[in-house]
Amino acid sequence: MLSSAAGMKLKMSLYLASCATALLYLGLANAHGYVPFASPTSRSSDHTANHFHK
Amino acid sequence: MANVSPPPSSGAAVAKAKAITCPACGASITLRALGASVMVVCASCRSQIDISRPEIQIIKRFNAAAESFELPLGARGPLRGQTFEVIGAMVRSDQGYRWTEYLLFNPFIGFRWLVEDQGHWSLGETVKDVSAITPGPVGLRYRDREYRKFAVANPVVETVVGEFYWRVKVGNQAETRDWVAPPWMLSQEKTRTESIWTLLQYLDPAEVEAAFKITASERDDVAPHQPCPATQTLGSIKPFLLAALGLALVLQLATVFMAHSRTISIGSYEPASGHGHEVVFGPVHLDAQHSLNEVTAAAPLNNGWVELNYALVNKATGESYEFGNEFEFYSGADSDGTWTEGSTSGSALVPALPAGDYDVVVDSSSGDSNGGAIQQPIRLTLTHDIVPWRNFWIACGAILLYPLVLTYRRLVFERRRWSGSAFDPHIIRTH
Amino acid sequence: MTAFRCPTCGAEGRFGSGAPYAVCRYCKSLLVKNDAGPESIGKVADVPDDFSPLQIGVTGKFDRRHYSLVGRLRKVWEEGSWNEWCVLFDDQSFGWLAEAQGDLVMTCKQPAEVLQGVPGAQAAAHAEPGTIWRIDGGDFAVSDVKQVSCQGAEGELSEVFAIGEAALSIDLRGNGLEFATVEFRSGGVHAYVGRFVEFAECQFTNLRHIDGWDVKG
Repeated sequence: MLSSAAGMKLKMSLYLASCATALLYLGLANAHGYVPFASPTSRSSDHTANHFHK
Repeated sequence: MANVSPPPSSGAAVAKAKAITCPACGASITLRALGASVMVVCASCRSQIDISRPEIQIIKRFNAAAESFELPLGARGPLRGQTFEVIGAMVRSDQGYRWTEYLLFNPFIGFRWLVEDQGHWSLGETVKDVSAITPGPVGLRYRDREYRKFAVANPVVETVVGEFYWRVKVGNQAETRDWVAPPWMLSQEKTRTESIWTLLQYLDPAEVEAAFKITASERDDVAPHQPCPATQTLGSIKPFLLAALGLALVLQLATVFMAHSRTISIGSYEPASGHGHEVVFGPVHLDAQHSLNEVTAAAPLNNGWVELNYALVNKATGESYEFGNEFEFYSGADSDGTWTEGSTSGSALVPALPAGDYDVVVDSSSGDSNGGAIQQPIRLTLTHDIVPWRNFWIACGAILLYPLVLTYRRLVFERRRWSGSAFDPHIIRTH
Repeated sequence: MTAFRCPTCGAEGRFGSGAPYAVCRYCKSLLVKNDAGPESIGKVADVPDDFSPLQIGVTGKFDRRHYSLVGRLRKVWEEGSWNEWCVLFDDQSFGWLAEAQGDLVMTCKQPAEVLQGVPGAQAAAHAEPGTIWRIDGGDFAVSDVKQVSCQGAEGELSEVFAIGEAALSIDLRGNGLEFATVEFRSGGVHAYVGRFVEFAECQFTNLRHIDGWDVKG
């Protein structure tokens, strides 16, 4: 069992890591114009210049 | 020359702990604070012995079985870097609650108190600068801390053993008042002639266990001045919280600053002509490296719906980004007046599009009040490189999650703390 | 340092300070210094055993003033007793270091003028705790009122109680750690003003060894 001082350090480190992750996500996602839960999207690599269905 | 006893040896004089014989039962009593203590209670027979004069006198005679205390008399241990010896112990009670107060002594420091109450331990010291205790905004102010009133009690001494520096008797009753500023407590004990103030600090039971080599009993409930672990953690992470939120804001502002947010008109789409086959618009030129874009469709609908399917095709790579959008608008009049429902426009977000020229391929299905395709033209626009806000809220949410959990835990803890007080500041009292 | 012979028992003694009184170590006669030699004015009781680390010869510091303990009075009241150590400062002035209930209080005698705000003995005997008296330009609150007498003495003393005398002693608390005592004795009123001191801040040397205890923290 961790002593309370060591336990506090662990909590602080974990929180700091989670903040860093959140900020990293923010920076990278914004830079790529990425957002989650956009309208339903599909992507396909169809190399034809024109696009014909049916 | 008169016969006189030789003078006390000077220089390396040694004070030894004195053992006396209990005048009531004959048991041996060790005096550990000779000169400072005025009475001792024999551990064997519980008689109270006055030792303030050289002639030892019995104050009160008792015959009682020894009560077991968690800390035995004579036990020594280091607390906060100073060693103390347990020289006296007493149990006091008030309205059914019982707690133990141990008198600690170190001849080079003085007296301290070690209080044990339902498994909670505190270290107390008599306040010498009493004039520094002043009225404050929430109760009392002492040494830059605000203390809130917690309890008023009238404890009675139930059991007493060992040495004390005043004449404490079983049955003595006092009036006490406690104020708390966790982990500190100011306790006032009023007697006929004076007020004695004690400053107590809440101790981690592990500290007492390590100091006196005992196993403390489990803690029950929340003590009045027990520090809230969540509050301590919140205090520690606060700098990170503020820095993280600040950085998130900076990153988002940078994104806002750098976004082009350029509106490109795609064209006017005729839904009737588009039914069943596609219309191609464009090309539109997207210059930002990677961008979030929004495609908006607007039509002066009246009692109709439209469902659009888009494909943005990168002319260079052939990569196709497909998405859909739908909207509807109805209006009418009834007994309450005119009403409307829905919207005459709709938009869809297209994330992470690489730079390049794109064809916009559109097909749709729609319906108007007649059941056929809507007649109104749909104006299509693309707003290029808009500011994403979703990521910012997600990041803020992630940053605030733990602090919010801690805040909830703190609320619960403080509820439990103050539920034991008649002076709960959270309760709105009705008179 | 002046050597003398006890007029009662003839034993040799020394006056080390300018204190007017001394107790003969051998016969416990209370001696007063005279030009013609010490004169015995009675006998005092022995000081009882105690666990105090202080003894005559201990040196200490008070606000950067160096001092040594030259004598002791054991004062007693209804509820207990305590030590009053007679203190000789380097500038040859005197003070009193009270050792009671594990606490130390250093006070120095004040001239009579400071007592203008203090009531007479009759009124003082009924003073309520909390009453404010003005002493030496400061406000002090009465903290307790008691009758005291002397149980024993040793060493050299700057003042003494008359043998068998009881005095009205009033303790008062001032700002912060300030402390004052006003004593109404048969010879008049005496005021002492000072403060609480911590053991560690006194930086004592020459302490008495206490069996089983180290001089720590």
